[in-house]
Amino acid sequence: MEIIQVLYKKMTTTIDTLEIKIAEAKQKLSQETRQAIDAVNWKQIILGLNNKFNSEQIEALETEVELLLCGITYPENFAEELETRLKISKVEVSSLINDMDKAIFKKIQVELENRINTKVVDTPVKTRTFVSDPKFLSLPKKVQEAISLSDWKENLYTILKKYNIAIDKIGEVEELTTKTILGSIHNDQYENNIKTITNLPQDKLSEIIPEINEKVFKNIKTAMMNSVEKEDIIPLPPYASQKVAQASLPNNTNTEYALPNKAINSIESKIPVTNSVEENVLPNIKDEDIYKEHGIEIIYNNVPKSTDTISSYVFKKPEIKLGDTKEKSSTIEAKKELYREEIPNSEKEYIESTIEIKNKIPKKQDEIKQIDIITNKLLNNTISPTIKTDYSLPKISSQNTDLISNNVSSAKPHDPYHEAI
Amino acid sequence: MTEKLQQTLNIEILKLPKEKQDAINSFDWVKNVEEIGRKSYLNDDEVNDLQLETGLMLIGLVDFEIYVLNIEKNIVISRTESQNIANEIVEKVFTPIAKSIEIAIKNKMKSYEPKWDKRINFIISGGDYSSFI
Repeated sequence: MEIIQVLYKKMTTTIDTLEIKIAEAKQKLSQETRQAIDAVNWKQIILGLNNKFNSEQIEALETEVELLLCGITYPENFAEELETRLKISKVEVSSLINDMDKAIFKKIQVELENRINTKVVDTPVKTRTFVSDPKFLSLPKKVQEAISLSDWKENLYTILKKYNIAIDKIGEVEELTTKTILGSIHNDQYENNIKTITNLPQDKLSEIIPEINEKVFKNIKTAMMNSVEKEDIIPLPPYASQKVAQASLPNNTNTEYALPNKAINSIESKIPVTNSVEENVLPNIKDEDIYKEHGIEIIYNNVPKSTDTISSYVFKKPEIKLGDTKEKSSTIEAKKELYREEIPNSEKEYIESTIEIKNKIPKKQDEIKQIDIITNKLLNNTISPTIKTDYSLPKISSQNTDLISNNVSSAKPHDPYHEAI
Repeated sequence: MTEKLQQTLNIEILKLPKEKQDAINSFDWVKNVEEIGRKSYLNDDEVNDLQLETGLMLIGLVDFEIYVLNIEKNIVISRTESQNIANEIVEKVFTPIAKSIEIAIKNKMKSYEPKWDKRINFIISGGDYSSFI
């Protein structure tokens, strides 16, 4: 009993070690190889290969193939391993390997080739990549790119090599050229500096300078011009794009634009209060466009589910014409009826309740006041009543004498400091 | 490259399979390596060493990791520089040669079926067509 337990323990540890080894070996394989092997269900194929094998042999064959495919077993040892593990003859091994080659290995090869070829196709044709040079980091990115793509270093090296300039001098010339590109050394000083560095005679110098100018500086200029040409169409200024936005709007004044807000707002926003829809709707659209042009996106509140239904419905039914207030109310009723057909009960209740609430909201006090003042003015009700005052002096004014004669007490007020005579 | 070194390498190249020989000989790798070396400001001796190391890599005596280490060690430049030079040589020398070998093998494979062990080597190598030679 103990022997069996020890053997079992030994077996399990061996299998575990083998699994670890296989896993490690698989990690070393390329991704394409792993994918190609996984793409072929080789274990299933092995089961269908030979019916003569018992379960132990099939298990051993699977292990051996796995070891072969992950590179642990070398192909030259594979036949021998099969012979030992499966306990079959050399002829049988040879036949088995041939079968496996046709059914498994060839398929894996095809899968791998497909993957490699796809990878080659996927990788874009070697395009010129922009490698940022730390020396030019202070320049704008477009300029950096143009400098990188101009191959100025290679060209400069070729020119200098042609004139047998020593390698250490080449480095100095390169540094000088870098500074000239950056603008820290003026162009006029370039020739003198080259002369100082290279000690070239004047005749050689008169040849090398135009060549550097042609193949280095002009190349950078050309690269920069090309990068500008590659750019998309120049964006329109805000005022021009606003015009375009207006022009792109449909002429149909009945077109309705749903505002993504609460359900009631979405309904009312589609009902033009004045006759002109453009007055109500167009400015909003303009604003949005202007914001978008400047990179500002308007984020609206979360829209209730019903809004979607309504907006989709409204876009489906553009024939509803909206006019004066009577029509407006009838349109609301019409819409309500139509909503009842399509919208679920809960949504209907929500919409109706919000419409009622909206209707109950009184008009603004300013508006009321404004109407009252106008009507009152027209009716002359705003004229304040005139009061006749009497500032006439007694014994001087002629009018006063009349008053005295008519009513003395009323004309002469009581004076407590003077007693009446 | 010295004449002696060139001769030695030529003898070794002749021992390679025909597809590899053709691919290497069809390409002026010596000049390309020299240009790369000059661009990295290597002097004549250093360029010569670089050509020797590249030749050893081409005839299969060293693998890529050792190749980079040898560049660093024998030409006495920094790890980054040696890696950059090696990368440039891979791009401008080894890749074109490998492509040339691949095309030659693919053409050859149209007329014959490779053996199973070579197929396995091809799979394990991750798609190296020289496994079929």
